[in-house]
Amino acid sequence: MRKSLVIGLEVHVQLKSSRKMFCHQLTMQGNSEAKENELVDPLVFGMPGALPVLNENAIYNAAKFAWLFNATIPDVCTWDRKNYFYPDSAKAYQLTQNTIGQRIAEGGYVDCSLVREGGKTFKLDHAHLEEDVGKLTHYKHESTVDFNRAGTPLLEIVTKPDFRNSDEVIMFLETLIAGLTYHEISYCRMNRGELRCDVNISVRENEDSPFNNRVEIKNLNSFESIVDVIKYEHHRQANMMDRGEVVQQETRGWNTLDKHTYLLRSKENAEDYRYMPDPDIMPYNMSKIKQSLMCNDIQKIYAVKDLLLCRGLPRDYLKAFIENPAHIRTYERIMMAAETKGHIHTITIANCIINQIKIDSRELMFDVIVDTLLLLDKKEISFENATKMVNMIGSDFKWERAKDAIKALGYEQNNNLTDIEVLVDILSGLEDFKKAMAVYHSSKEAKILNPLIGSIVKANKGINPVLVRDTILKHYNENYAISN
Amino acid sequence: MFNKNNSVVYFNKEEMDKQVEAIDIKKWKPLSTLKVAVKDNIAVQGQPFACGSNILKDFISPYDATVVKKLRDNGLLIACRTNMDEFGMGSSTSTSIYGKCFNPLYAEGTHSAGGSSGGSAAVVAEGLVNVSLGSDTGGSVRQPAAYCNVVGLKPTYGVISRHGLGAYASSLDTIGVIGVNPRITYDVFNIIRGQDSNDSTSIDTTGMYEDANGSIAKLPKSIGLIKEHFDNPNLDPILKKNIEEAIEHFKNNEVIIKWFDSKYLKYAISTYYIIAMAEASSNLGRYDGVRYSKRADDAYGIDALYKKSRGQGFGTEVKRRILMGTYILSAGYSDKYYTKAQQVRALIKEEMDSFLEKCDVILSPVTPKIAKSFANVHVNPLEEYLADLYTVPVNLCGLPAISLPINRDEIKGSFQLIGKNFSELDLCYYGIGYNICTVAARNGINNWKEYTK
Repeated sequence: MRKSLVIGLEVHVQLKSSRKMFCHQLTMQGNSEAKENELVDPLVFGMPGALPVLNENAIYNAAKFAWLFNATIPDVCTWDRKNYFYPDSAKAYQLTQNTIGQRIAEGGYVDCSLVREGGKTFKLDHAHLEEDVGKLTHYKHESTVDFNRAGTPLLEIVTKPDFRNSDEVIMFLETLIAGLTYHEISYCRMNRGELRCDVNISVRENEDSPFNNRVEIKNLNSFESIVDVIKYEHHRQANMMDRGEVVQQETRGWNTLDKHTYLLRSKENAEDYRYMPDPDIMPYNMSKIKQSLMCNDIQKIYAVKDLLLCRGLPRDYLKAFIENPAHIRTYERIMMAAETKGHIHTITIANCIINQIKIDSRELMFDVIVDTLLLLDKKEISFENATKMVNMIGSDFKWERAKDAIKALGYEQNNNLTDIEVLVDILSGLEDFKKAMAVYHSSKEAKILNPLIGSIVKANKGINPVLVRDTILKHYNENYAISN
Repeated sequence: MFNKNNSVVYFNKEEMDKQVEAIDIKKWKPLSTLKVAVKDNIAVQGQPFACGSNILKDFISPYDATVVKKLRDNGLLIACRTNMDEFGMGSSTSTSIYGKCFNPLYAEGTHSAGGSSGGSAAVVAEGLVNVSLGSDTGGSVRQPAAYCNVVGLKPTYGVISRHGLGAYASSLDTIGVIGVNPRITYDVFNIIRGQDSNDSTSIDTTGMYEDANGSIAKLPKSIGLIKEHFDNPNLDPILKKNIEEAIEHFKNNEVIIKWFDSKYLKYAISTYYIIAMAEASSNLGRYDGVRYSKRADDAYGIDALYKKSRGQGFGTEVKRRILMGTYILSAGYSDKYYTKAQQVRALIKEEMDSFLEKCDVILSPVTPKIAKSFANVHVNPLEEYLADLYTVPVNLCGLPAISLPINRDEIKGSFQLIGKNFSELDLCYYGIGYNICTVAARNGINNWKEYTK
């Protein structure tokens, strides 16, 4: 075996959009609680007389992709109908872009050297906009279809056959995802189907041999299955060649449980989609969008690392951010909001985001988050209570200002040093306190004091634990250290 | 059947009473309480929306078409739904689930009201309403209006929203108005026109239809005639003579007549049917029995469900057009037929526009015959397609046209005036002007300006 691989990708990305591509109905991003077939209207349901109208925000978002990855945006975008019968398609056609030169992005490339040392540059063929389809569920005696997902704006990114192994594929996807999420083009949450991949694989004798037929494996939704599929197909096709068989051009599916690919349809059975220009949507003039993208001075960000280092964050934090590029955006937003309000320590923000804050629906309350973090910096609230409070935003949070919330929740922190000194003086007479002091005396490890501090904070709600610790240490220095 | 001619396919007295009760005198508008009949392929919330087809037999529309909403907003009443050919495919109103619609001008149900908006033309001719809405994809408003001796207006493509119109061929479909006279036809058109956020092909018409100087009648300065229209061997000689008399009326009133030779008109029929069938095959795919359209009872498995539901749901003519449209769009044939047809369409449009630069309107027959007897319907589909020769070029070009009776009181056939884009107001004024000419002539006065003095 040991034959060479050639790999090309088709990446389907759900654009960040609360509205569907061709009507005013909400997407599942816009309403994540919707019951089955709740996010429908006459168009989504394919009723007679309903016409598609363009969601210009989705077009802008997709054009941002073209800008980000150096592709050409056409002067005019047009739409085509891909006709086929399947219950997940309500109109019996999918609206897509099939006219070369009138798709949202032609050409372009993804430069991975910005992210990884020695990373390659991978060329893109094009990207086009289309609408997602409904979701089928099969039971023993019946199947059901849910149209909530149908009509979600979808960007299909098609690469050139530039990849030679699964490492390169993953490197490409990481860069793509970092760019798309940072620039808010898509959330790219693979577990929610917001990024799915079709992988085209062909095997040849060696690097110089001509290309063989390619096999397309549909609908992969994790890095793990992509790596597994490439490995499996490499073996399968190489073995076929060793046996003298010819690999046919075909479409295959991936069984995640048994880890094998299976035939979906061969080339002869390929469906004729009877593409035609859609007569219901007028060609869309891209000049305004092109102009606004050309005029913007936003820095293109793919390499998360560089961005964070230039913000002065310690290296320890990078890993957590790189794993979740969406957090960087939140970080940036908070930094930006904070600039107008006062200085917040960058570590405070990073800690808060990495450890606790889930950011989905909370974008509207950045002010409150910033205020909370400012109060945290000023020690008017403990770290524990600050994260508790920020995590309430979006669900139980009903206050307009952080200060009101802290008061109502009883999260105010007592920073009065005299109070704490009096408290420590009283407690110092107790046996437990004396015992702790003795242990500390022999070890000199500050964490030995944590149970003591914990019990004091518990008994005196709202007291600042940092100040308690400092006071105890001061007390130690004054009463025990000298006698040593 | 709701009436003798079977032009009405749905009427609900309670709904009508409710609409009347809801009228707010304080919000009275000029056409408040005017009753409008609506073709069965236009959505009215809570009413059946079958497009004349068995496959949508029990479907109730959950929404109002934009035109219906505009009528309601102006205080007009939705009177009833009218008969049509299934999905607008036909020219005799005899292929719907409701059965044939008869032409009220002829006794004993011998004649067709034309189609596909035959019901909408018949209700006006019968006097049930003064005005109705139809849809015109290749002549479906003008042709039945001509057979029923009433006025039929096919507006400029995009001036009236198609939101809520059951699609046949999207790039040709236009909602049109049928009325007893040009004035009321225009007034209703004027209410339903305008841009709609639910239809991206609709055009902003703000300021385009100013009622100039309040004049109510006009004549064009020049009329264009296309030689090929009148050389057609299928054109009934009596109708030809009647139209020539109508042209005389214009001539007597100092209208200049110009003749044109057409290079591309002979391709109009084939171009039209290729485009219409291709679009129809795609537009009608949604009626699959899965969601709201009628599902065959005895289907097991998804393929059988599609085949049986569509097999039982669609009529012969609809099936014919879907199959041919599917063929036209299939790989290997699409360039040969569909792409070529779009190119020819552009040439036809270019030629028509060049004619219209040299005259105010083009006058032509609407149909080759004065009347359509049921004896001649469904004999040969190709022959019926060929009868659309006069009407389809207008749709291919997206132009406005009005079908006008040669004589309002006597069955003498109709002619149509084809105008430049957005000239509906002029077309209706010309219609009024022509009517005055004929009345004046009957009183022995050839020049109508003298008559109105």
